[in-house]
Amino acid sequence: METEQNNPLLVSVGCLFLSLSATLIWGGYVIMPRPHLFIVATMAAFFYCLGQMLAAGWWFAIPPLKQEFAWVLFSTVTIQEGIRWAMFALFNWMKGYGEGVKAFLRVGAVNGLLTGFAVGAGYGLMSVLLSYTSIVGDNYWFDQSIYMPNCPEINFFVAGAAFALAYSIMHMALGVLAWSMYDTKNYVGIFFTYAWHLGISMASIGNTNRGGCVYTLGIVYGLVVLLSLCALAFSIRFVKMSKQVDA
Amino acid sequence: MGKRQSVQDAASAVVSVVYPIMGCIALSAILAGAPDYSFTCVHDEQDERAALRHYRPWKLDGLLTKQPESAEQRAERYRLAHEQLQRQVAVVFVGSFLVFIVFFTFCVAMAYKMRFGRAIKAWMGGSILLVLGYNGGSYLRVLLVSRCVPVDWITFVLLVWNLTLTGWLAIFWKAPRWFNQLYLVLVAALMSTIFRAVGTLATWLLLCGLVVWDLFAVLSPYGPLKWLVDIAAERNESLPALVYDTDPSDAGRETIRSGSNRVQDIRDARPTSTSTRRRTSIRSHADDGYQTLPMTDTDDECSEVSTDPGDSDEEDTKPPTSSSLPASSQIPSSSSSSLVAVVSGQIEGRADLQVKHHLKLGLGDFVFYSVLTGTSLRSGGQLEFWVTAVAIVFGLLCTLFLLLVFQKPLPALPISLTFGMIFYIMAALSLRPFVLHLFETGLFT
Repeated sequence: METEQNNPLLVSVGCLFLSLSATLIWGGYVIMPRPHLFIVATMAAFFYCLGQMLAAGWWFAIPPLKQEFAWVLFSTVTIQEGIRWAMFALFNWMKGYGEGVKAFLRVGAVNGLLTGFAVGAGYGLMSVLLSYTSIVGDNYWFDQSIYMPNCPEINFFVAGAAFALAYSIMHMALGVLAWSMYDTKNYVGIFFTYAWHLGISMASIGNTNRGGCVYTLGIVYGLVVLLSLCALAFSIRFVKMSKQVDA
Repeated sequence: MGKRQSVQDAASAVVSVVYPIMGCIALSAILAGAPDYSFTCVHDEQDERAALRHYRPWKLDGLLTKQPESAEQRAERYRLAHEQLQRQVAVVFVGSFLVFIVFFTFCVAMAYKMRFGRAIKAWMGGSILLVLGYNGGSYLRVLLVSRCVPVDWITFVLLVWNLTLTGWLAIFWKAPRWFNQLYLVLVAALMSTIFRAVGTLATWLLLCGLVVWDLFAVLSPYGPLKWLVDIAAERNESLPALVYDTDPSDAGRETIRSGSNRVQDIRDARPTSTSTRRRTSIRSHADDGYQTLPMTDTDDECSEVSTDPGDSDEEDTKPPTSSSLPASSQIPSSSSSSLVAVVSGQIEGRADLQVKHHLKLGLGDFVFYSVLTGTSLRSGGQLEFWVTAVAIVFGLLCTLFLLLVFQKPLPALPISLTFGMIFYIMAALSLRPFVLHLFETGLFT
C-alpha cells in the first residue's frame, strides 16, 4: 500500500495545488484576461510584501511581545490594512497623471469591484507564497510525514495548505469589500472589513492549543465562507445601486 | 471608444512584457536548480532519494526538529565554506567584468558609428550560437543523464545542433513572433545561469555596478547608449539591438522600408465619420531615439487608417506593426539592452491616428533580472526568491509608468534591481524569521 512516505512528491504537489487553488482559478478566470487587473494585482503583491516586512520589523522592535500571539496578529493585520488603504490613496493620487494611468486604473462601480478583487488576489497569492509555499519548499518538500505535536490529527502540510487556502480566499473577499468602502468613504464599512480580517486572523490562535487545529480549521472556514457570501451580496447590491444612480 | 482602446492597448503592451520576464525568471530558477554535473544516473531507490536531495538547490534547515550534526554534515559544511571563500575571490573578476562591459559598450557604439553593423551582427550571432549550443547543450545533457534517458552522442549532437540552429534562425532571420520570443527568453535564462559559478557577494557587487552603469549609459550625455540612440536617430535607422519585441507580427517579415517608415497594418482603428482609408506615411519621433507612448491621445487624434486599400473590410485581423523600428538587429546584450523602448506610430502632420502600442525591452534586462532572482534563490531561499521577483516586476512597472510620465528613454535595470536587492535584504533579515515564527505556531494573517 502506498503511503505518503512513498509518494512524498504527490503529497507536496497536492498541497501546493490546494493552497494555490483559489488564487490560480480566480486569477486565471478574472484577472489574466484583463491586463490592467494583472498590473493592479502585481502592485498589490508588492505592497503585501512591503506590509509584511513592516510587520516583521515591528515584531523585532518589541522583543518582549514577540511571543504574544494576539499582539503579533493585531499589529500585522493593522499594518496590512493600512498598506491596503495606502495603496488606494496612491492609486487616487496617480489618477492625476493623465490618461496613461487610466490604462491600469478604471472608474466605475464594476471596475472598482474588479480592482478591489485584483488587490485581494495579489494579497492572497503572496500570503500563500510567503506563509506556506516558500516555507514548505525550502525545507520539507520531499518529506511530508510531519505532524505537529499540537495537531496530531492532520498532516502538518495538509493543514497548512488548507489554512493558506482559507486565508487567500479571505484576502480576495476583503479586497472587494474594502476597496468599495474606501471609494465611497464608508468608515463603518472600513471598520467592518478590518474587524473581519482581525477576527479571522485571531481565530488561528486556536492552532496553538493541543489538538486545536481541527476546530480552528472549521471556525476559519466558516468565517471565510460567511465573509465571501457577504462580499458577494454587497457586490451585487453595490452594482445595482450604481446602475440606479446612473439611470 | 478610441480612448478606451488606446488605454487597453497600453495595459496589454505592459503585460506583454511582464509575462515573458516572469517566464524567464521562472525558467532561470528551474535551470539554477538543475542537478550538478557530478550527479550520475542511478537506479537504486536509496540513491534516488539522495539524488532528489541533490536536485534541491536550496539550503536544508531543520525547521521543526533540530538534529545533531553528523561528521558527514560537518564535512559538507566545511566544503561549502571553502567553496564560498573561493567564490568570494571572484570579486576581483567581477570588477574585470564590469570594465569589460563598459569598454565593450563603447566599442559597439564606435563600431555602429563607423558603420560596422555586420561585425556587430556577426559577433552577436556567434554569441547566440555559443549560448544555445554550449550552455543549452550542457543543461540538456545533465537533464538526460539525471533522468536516465539513454541517448547516444550522435543523436545528442544532432539534437543540440538542430535546437541551436533553429534558435539562431528564429532570432536573426524569420520566424513566428512567438517562436522568436520563446528563444529570446530561453537565451536570456541560459545566460543568467552563467553567473551560478560566481560567488554570491560577487554577484551582488556586479548588480550594484550595473545599476550605476546603466544610469550613466542611458541618461548621461556621455553615455554610450545615449550616443547609440542619437546616432540611430540622426540616420533614421533602427538601433542595432537584441531586444524582446512584443510586436505580434512575425519576426523578420516586416516590410517597412528603410528611410521612410510606414505602418503596414493598423489593427482595429476606431471608425470615424469619414470612413475613407488611406495610405499614410509615418515619421517617428527621431529626435528622442526611442519612441514614447503618446498616452494623451484623445478622440480628436484618432481615425482609421489602412495602408492597403483592399484591407478596408478587415477588422482586428491584422497584427499591428512597428512603426519606426524595422526588423530586429542585435547589440551585445551585456552592454546596452537595458533601454525600454515604447514604439508607437504617429502620423506626420495628422493628429487623428490611433495605433497599437508595443514595447521593446532589451535582452540584458531579462538576463540580469534572472541573475538577481537566481542569486536570491541560491543564497536565501524560496521566500527571498518570491519577494525579489515581485519587487523586480513592480520596479519594471514603475519604470514604464515613469516612461509614460516623462516621455523619455529610460534604463530598465536601476529601479527593478534596486527594489529587488532591497527587498532581498529585508526578506532575509526580517521577513524570514517572522514568517517562520508564524508558521511554527500555526498563525495566519
